[in-house]
Amino acid sequence: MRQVSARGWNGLFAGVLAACVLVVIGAGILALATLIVASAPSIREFGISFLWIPAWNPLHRQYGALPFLYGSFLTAGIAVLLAGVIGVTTAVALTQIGVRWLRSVLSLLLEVLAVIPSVVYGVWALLVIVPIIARLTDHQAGGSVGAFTGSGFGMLAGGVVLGVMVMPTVVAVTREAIASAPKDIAEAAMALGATRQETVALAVMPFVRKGILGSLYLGLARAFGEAVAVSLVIGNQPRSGGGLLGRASTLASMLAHTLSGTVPPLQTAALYELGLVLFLIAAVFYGLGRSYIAREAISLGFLPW
Amino acid sequence: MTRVSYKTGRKLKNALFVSILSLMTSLAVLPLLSLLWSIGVQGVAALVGLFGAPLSRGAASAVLASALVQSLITAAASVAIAMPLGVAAAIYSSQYAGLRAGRTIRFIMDILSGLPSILSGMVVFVLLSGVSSMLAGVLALVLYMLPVVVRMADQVLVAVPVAYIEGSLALGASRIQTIFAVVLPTAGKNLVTALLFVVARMVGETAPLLVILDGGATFQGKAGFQPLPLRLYSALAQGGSVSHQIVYAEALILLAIIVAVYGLARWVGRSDR
Repeated sequence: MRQVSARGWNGLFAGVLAACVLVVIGAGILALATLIVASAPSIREFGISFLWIPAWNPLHRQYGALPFLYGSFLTAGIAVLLAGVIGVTTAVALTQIGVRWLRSVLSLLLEVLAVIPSVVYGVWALLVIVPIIARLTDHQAGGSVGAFTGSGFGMLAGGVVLGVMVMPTVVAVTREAIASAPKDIAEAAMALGATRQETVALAVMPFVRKGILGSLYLGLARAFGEAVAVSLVIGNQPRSGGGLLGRASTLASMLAHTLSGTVPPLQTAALYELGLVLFLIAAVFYGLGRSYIAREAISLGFLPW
Repeated sequence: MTRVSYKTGRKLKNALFVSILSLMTSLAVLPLLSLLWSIGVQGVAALVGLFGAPLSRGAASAVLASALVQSLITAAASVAIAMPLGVAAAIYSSQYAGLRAGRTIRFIMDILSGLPSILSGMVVFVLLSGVSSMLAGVLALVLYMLPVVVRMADQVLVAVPVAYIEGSLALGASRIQTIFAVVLPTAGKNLVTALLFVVARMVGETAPLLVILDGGATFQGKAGFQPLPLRLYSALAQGGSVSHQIVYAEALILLAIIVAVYGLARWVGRSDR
């Protein structure tokens, strides 16, 4: 009698927990469905050509994703290039060279970098990065007020901020990959008289290639999804083409920038379609990144934002 | 002769390697130091300026206090909804679901947590048909946090040794008793750390709130609900219309809160390092 009721309670408990799982999954599906429904007018109007219409011109009811894809891929590319080069070498340094206390201090600092909110990165970028770029590129403006180059705002500033925001992800994931590489081979290399550099090149790196690739994909996903800091420094101008110093927009920065204010229905639908495109790209990169990473750790670097 | 030069070559290469690594590591830390320095200096100067002058003191403290309180209420409400739901789902996926079901749930949570934060705000905006309120902000944060909470909690709960669970069940404890007496206490510290990490990230999150509060709402409407990150963003995005002093002060306060929560998380999980 008592056993039966205990089993009943257990079943009920399991059922409630399973319901929680379904609620979370259901919320996700609802979110995706909402995005699709909200962008339906735009999908109907433009079809698949939405992806390569090269202009975003509300006056002519012309809406295309190309300028934002251009901005997103370029800024994310800059970000992952910066974060990849600096982040991977830093991860190697934090595991292979230096004294232990310094390593742990530096790791802690890099984790703090992951916890700083994007709006604070925006403040910092406005205070530091934009003025630096402005000073470096000032001569190109030829002194004309309001010229696009020389202001410091633009694709490069956006890419650099993103690079800093993505770096903790790259460092954390690469470190994790190095930590799970077989130790005995590296030790054998050291025992045979290999230098640090030779050990890393021959006995460590071959085991962490996948991890590095995974970290770069996760970084790309995060760079694509970041809206707030980028929209503050990129200049918010949807253009396909235009150089690194030109003002631009990314998918996410456009959403942050434009949805503040009343916009006509078709433009809203087109904005939601931008959101849908953003979700698909971010999900693909995120999934790719995850597929390369075997081990996991409770680390901020693994958080997807 | 050739032997010696080969050996020095290797040593040189190694020295070059070590110096490049050191250089790159300094480059990696530089942004953080720059950020802390610039916002620290400007923020402290702003706080001194605002609270030093008797005229601005009242207004500044009123603005900051209301933004802080709204931030805390928003954060507390979304944590209160997302944490129990997320941890419950994680208990299911780690303790009840079979191997394949668990893997499927994890995969779905992975994909869902890839949802860029700005989209959760857009979704809630449509679902509530444009009603701009604190509830909308909370729901957006919850939508965006939930899969992450599940994933982080699941990761911690899966790490509890199976032998503990089997031992408990073998002694005749029920599933529920095992979960509350063995699984959760064992995972406790790590679980709290993981959840605090999520809280630290969430307190400063701006994007989910942004669309709800700005989209369609009038300025009067928005003025009613402005947590700290949102105030910061709208002041910066409008540019110049708001006094810069308060922006820096707010950035510093936000940074301080978040680093404090992060420090707490590290402190709770300290002995595991």
